[in-house]
Amino acid sequence: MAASSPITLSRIETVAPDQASLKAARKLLNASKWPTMEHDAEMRLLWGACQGSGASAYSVTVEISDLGAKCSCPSRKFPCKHAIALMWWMAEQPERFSEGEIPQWVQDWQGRRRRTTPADAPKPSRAGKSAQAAAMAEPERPRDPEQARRQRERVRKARETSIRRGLEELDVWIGDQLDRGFGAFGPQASEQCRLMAQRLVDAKAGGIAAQVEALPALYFQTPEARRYDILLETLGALHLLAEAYRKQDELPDDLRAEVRTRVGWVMTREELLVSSDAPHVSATWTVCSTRSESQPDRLVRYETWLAARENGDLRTALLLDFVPASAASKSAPSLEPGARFEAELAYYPSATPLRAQIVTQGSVSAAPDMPSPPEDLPAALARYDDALTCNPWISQWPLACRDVHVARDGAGEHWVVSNDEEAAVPLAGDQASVLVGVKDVELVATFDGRWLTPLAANSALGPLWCTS
Amino acid sequence: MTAAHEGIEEIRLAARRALTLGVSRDPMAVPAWLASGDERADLLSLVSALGLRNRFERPVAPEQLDTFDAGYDAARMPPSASRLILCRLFAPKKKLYEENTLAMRTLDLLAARGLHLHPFDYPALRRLMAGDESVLDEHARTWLSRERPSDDGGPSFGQIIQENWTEFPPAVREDYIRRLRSSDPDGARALCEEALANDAATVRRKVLGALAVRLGASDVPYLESFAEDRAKSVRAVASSLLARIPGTAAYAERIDQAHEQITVQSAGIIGRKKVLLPKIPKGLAASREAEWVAETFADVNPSELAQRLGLAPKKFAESLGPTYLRDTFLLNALQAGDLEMAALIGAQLDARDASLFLMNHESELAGLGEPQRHATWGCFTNAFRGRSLHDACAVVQHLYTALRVPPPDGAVDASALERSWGKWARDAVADPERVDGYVPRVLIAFSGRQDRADWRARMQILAPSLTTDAFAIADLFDAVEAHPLP
Repeated sequence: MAASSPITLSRIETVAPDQASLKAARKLLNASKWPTMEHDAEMRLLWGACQGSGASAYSVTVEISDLGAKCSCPSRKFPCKHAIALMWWMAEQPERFSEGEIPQWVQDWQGRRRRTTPADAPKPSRAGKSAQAAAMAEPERPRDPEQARRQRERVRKARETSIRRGLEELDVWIGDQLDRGFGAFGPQASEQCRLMAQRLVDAKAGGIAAQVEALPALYFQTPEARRYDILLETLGALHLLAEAYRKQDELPDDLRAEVRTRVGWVMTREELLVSSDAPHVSATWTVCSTRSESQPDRLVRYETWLAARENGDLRTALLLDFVPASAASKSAPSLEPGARFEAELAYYPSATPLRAQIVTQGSVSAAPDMPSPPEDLPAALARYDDALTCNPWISQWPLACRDVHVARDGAGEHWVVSNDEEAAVPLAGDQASVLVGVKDVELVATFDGRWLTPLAANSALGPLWCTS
Repeated sequence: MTAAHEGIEEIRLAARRALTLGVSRDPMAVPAWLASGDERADLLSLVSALGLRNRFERPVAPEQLDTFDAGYDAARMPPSASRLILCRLFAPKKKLYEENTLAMRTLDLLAARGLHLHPFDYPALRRLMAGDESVLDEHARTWLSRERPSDDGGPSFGQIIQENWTEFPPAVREDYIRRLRSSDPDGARALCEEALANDAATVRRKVLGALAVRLGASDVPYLESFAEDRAKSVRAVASSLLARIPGTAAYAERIDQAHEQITVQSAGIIGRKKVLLPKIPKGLAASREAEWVAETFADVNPSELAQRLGLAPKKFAESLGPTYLRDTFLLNALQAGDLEMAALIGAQLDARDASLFLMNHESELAGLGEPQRHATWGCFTNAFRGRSLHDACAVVQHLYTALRVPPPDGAVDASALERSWGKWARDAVADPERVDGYVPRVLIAFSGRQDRADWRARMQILAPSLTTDAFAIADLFDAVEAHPLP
């Protein structure tokens, strides 16, 4: 029977995040743990219920064509051991699956997920998100709505309590770092941050956990002379976030939403679209840049930076997609730099709205240039300060300025973006040096407070669209 | 700033010391305006406040900025559509098998039309640009040298030209003379005549060796002037070069020696077939035989040797026994400009032998003069019209890599490759997974404009996965060739 299975063990090996997941999945190849295992009539989808240690079984589904998977367990691995086990069952004993009607939750998931392959694939949605986020956001749906509501409320309260406990631990941990001194941070940075991040994940504060986990990389890639500042700023921001979370009821709605998101509460696309707090903006958007980055959790983070002229101002937006590294080459966002389209965007509620989802989108054409920024460099820097005042946790922030050029600083160390010597900001990124010697540049770049990294530019030589 | 914040700089300095050493060793006083009574909470609040204060600091504008106008000429850059294709073909995450050759071909086509790469495309085209820096414009070369990490920490020399070539390391000088010889043999020799006498023997030997490219009768007086050179190694290089120039005494002596080192044996069932075999010294390891043959018969004109052996050129070419003997005489014929003999020997090579020969002698072939390089394509016609289209494409690719001149019109046309194309296309249509896009890409990239259109029409039957890149190349090359010549 195994020979006729549409899934092979080698395919499963390819998508498994690590050997431990395979080993864990093998332990689940026990029929008593799987009360249901079904497939649809066309053998495109598998789903089943896996009895874990909790009271209710995890709901697992797998799309056979690309082994995309979804599970209601809280694992950060993707695919989780339950999904791998379901694939494994199909690979070795497909006769154990019975044919059934596709459940609603499987249909919902399939409708939302970004398709990678076949010709019948619907238009990609912008609903990509981390497995962890997906798992948190979409618990299994019980049948009784009132029971479901009560269960959700119980889960929410338990999570609030858990997060607050985790944030208390974080404060203690930050205090320990201050006791030991920043000079002693380096040698144990990776291990200490990893353990703290794990505790925060256990406390269901995944957002702030990711910031702690990223700290060692940030620390070590920073020149030694600046490491003190990086630690001061990052640990200070983490404590400020914990404190803001504890006092969230005193915050304005948009800042409260920002704080909750940064701590780890995820708003799904569906929630965003019906949220009255989410600003909706319709405009002609231009894709300035796309960036991708592999994350430690084996997801690839895709950033798509958009800009549009709006009432004489330049509005920017960031679309984020997370896809498993194993499927990254096939699942990259379809929008390329230099594309232009009409669209309505819904911004996630925030003190400084930036991340957005596309609600409706028109056809795509090639943009002749980037939308022109209205401000010069000093004004753009002042605008960044305003944003930082509203939201002290912003990191890479879009900054747009006109009439600048790229020059070498006096010491010959950096390229800097300058506006007739009134202001000069160091320029980073692969594309920085191609602007050298080009006059009267209009630039959109991300700014971290010290470095500009170009997203796009206009010049007499035409537009520059950056990818990385 | 309020009165309460007046001491902020002092607080920052004190905090820096305390936080670096650790507050358990160097306790940090929290200012009164922040104190709430909870020491631990106050300390964390102070760190948050100082961290946030830090984030409002901006880089100070340097007192001096080195600004300049690069003076780019937008009219000499490829049109937007071509730029897009270029960036897709040579995308950093993409790696085509024949990418280096394709890069050379593309850069050559752009250079021939006086087009420069767009500076905004440099990062995306880094690998294309590395294909051959010598055909890049000044801006592109400057960008490449700026981006290249200087791993040895040594001095940067910039671009080598006639006025500064003596200031470069010996290996760079040798390479410069070698390249200059292929375009201007007399000019390169004149540079040596001016400067070489003052150099050390090792430098003289290296740079003199570079004159092997396009050696001719006009070099004889200069080479003979080394007869009295104080270094034996330099005298040896000069005399070996002289031995390659017909009409010199050394040349006649070399033919005599070669004649003594080769034997004609009868072969075949009735002994009518002849086989030429080198007289390999007894005791020579088998692994060194090819090297010995290459040294012994280097620069020996095969037509003259054939005459001494009493063999007609065709018979000589057909009788060359071991592969290494055949390769040595093919190279000699090409270097001597004896294209008739080269074609006769080249006709004995199948596609795989030809590819091996071309790969092994890339640098020697690159040193041929331009007319010889153009003519060399004709010596391999049999090899790339064999039964395997894939192997034929490999020959075309290696020929271009070595010669850097396009194939003559019709060399890669559809009618010439009709049979092998038919077989390949049938297989590709039946099972597109078994083949890749290499063959379509090579056929399109190395055809002339008319043949390109012809190939494109024939390739419509193939799966798009096999032709996407090939058609992109066709679009790119058509657009570039439509640009007026400079």
